[in-house]
Amino acid sequence: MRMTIPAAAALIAMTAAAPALAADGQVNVYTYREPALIEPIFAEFTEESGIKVNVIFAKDGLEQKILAEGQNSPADMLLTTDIARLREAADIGIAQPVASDILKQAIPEQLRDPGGNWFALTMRARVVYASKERVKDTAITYEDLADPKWKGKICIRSGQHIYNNALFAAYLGKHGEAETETWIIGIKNNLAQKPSGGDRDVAKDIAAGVCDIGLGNTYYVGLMSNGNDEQKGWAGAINVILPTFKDGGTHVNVSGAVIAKHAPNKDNAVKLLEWLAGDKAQQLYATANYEYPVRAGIETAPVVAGFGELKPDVMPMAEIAENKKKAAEIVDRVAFDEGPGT
Amino acid sequence: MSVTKRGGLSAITPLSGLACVLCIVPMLSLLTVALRGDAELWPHLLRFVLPYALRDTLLLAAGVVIVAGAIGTALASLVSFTEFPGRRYVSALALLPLAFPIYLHAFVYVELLDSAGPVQQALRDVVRLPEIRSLAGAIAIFSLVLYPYVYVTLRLAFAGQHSGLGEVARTLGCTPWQAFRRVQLPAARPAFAAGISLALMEALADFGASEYLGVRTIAYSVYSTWVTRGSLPAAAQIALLLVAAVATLAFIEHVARRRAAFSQKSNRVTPSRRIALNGTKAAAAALFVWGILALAFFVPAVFLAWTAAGTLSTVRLLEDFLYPLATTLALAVAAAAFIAVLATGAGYYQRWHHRSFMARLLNLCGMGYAIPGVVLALGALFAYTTFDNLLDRISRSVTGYSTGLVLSGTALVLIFAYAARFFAVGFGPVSARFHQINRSQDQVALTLGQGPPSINRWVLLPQITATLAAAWLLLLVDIVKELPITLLLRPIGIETLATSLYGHASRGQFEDGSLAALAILGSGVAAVAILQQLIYRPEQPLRASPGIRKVWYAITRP
Repeated sequence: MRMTIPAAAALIAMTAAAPALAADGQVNVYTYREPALIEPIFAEFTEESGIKVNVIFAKDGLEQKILAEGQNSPADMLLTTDIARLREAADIGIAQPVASDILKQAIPEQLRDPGGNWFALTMRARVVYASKERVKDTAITYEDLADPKWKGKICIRSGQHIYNNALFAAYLGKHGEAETETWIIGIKNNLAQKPSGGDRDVAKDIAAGVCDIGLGNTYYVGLMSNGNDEQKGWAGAINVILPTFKDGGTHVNVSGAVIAKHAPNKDNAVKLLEWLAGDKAQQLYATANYEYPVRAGIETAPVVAGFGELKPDVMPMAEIAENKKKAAEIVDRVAFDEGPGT
Repeated sequence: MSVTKRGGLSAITPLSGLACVLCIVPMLSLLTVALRGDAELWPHLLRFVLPYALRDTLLLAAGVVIVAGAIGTALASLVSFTEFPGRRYVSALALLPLAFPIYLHAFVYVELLDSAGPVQQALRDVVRLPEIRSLAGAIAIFSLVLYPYVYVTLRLAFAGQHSGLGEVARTLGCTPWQAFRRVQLPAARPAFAAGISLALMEALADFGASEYLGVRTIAYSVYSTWVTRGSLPAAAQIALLLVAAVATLAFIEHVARRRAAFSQKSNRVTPSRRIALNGTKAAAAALFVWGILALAFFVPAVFLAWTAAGTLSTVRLLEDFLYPLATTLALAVAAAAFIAVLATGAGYYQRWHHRSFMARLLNLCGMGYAIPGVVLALGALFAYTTFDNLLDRISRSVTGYSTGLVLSGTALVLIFAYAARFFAVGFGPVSARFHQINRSQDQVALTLGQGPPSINRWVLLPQITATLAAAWLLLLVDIVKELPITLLLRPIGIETLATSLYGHASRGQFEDGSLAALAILGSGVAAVAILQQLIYRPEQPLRASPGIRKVWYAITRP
């Protein structure tokens, strides 16, 4: 075939273009965090330290990738959202413990692994979006979501999505399996429509009058408020209520990082991790992505500050991660994703 | 070794072998993952997960077969056999929706049609449209994107059909409609089967778009079993059962078809004369096809262009657009060529050795198209890293030198994984075309003293070049828009249009990715435009030496 010659040339060129993987002044990051968010942060890091950051961004499977690559893996750091993923990285043995006083000082104890395998870098709260027009409540508990007064008025994305999964897992830790099942059935019966779309669609549906309240993460509201006019409209149609558990605080999940077990550039990776927990990066996380910084003394973005003071629930992140599987099974059992009336 | 009489060692057997290895290896590696697990989760899956997933899958599949099948068949037939206003343009444009990744189409239509979208807002006092995020919405969106598979294989089949087929039927008393329905359409059944199975497998493998639309198919169960139910082995088990089900369906169709022969005695393909439709019929035909084209392509494309235009001032042209564009094209051109070569080798191999084990195995090779991309990517990842680490260990113990990861993390692994995923897209049309070419041609050439290599080169190749080019372009379009495999297996630092778009969309900043989306569409449109040229041109013999020409004439003008 005549095509094979240019094809082969292109192939060789691309293979050769791959950067050297273990080299001075470099660090390789596998990440689930979006390029537009982390690129500016990494750019700052490179400017300050002279260390170049090579990035692979993916949606799923990076833990498996590091595991499969084994001791030849180029990965130095895995940067991810969701506590369960951080825990899994530690559990399947792709993380290595880091003893760093800088990290210990910067990150509160409940937000890092006691063994030093993972470190949270930001928090996000799972909160109630409520119609400005139709909802007068200013406070709400997670337990209230099952109250029949919300019948036909709640919108939510799939119950199997990791954001909901983590919230349900936290509820499970508070109330036990039987009560959690009743609660999830209660929410299901209150749904306005079959779970679909994403958190942004929840705001959109409230704006369009499909439902009155819904669950979403905090930073989406920041992103929408600074998006195009259409998105500003959705954000403008909702109030954010920081819900709490009846005897507790607001459910938060985290984003964080682990240092890979076979990191070829471990020193650089630790430097990067410490930098991510530092003032400048924490401020960037807060202002550019509307997340809650883990480091004390960093201000949140004005739109996030406007939600009121966040009182994160005290349940250890590890417990939430442990309940994850059971929560997923309850969601299956009650056919949550089938929607109301089933 | 098969074919060596003239022209030396044949590349056909090694090529087919390579195709088999590349396709089977990720599945075998999934099998080892599946075997690692126990059946602990199965009672739960069987009771609470799979019944719903199976229902959604069957409904979606049935919907796509009916709707995409009907649209593709109607468009191909109207364009091939009738004359109506704008037919030439339709013929050129009907393939364009193929350039859309399903997730992009779904996203655009949800933007346009859901309750907060411009359409519903404008109509809110008049009528409430049915919810787009629903099974019906998913069927409509999938069918609008996938019908071109049926359209293109049928167009090729109709173009390759002897014009006498319809004429004979009509001299025997059939009306043109009857001739079409009873003779020309049934004669194109292998092509329809090839087209619809590609559409179906792509629908079965998707979970991003369908989940977004609130439809949770088996593919989504595979994904959620891995990600939230926390069991990769169970996920692999479901994925392999899905493959087994698809393989069974393909086998049934194969058996059903075996009783009938579809090849033609003659290769004198003059295009059938098209029937000019009169007033009302012409208007109805035009309205139908233009309506489909508007929904499937123009409306979403214009929406994207409009969105992209709004971002031009802020977009980083080099990083967000030109660099991913160049990478995407280089990768797609190379990978599509590679897979097309494999498919050709496999097609030849099946023709000469259709009873051999490998020929049967090749049929199974296309099944990768029915596996969710991210799961197949995992299979490939495990397989190639295992190979690399084994090589490394051997090298360390023998030479003391570490080879590191030889294949993993290079573009080569990405292309190998594309081959596992998209082999069917190349092999389907090629194999359907081979079925159309009467075996008596090979036999006549053999009796005239030609060996298989020269038959391959001078008798068969000229008849499959257009199909081959078409397969290459289909592959190109598919690879340009591929996302999950590229995300997981691409070399560090490589960004394609699809990954760039996903990077923006996953944060909800879809607008910033709309230029990349438009470029995906543009690359697809360019490929489709060339593809279209090929359908017009019936397969012609290439330049041939006088001896060969004699053989050719002996075959084609008995």
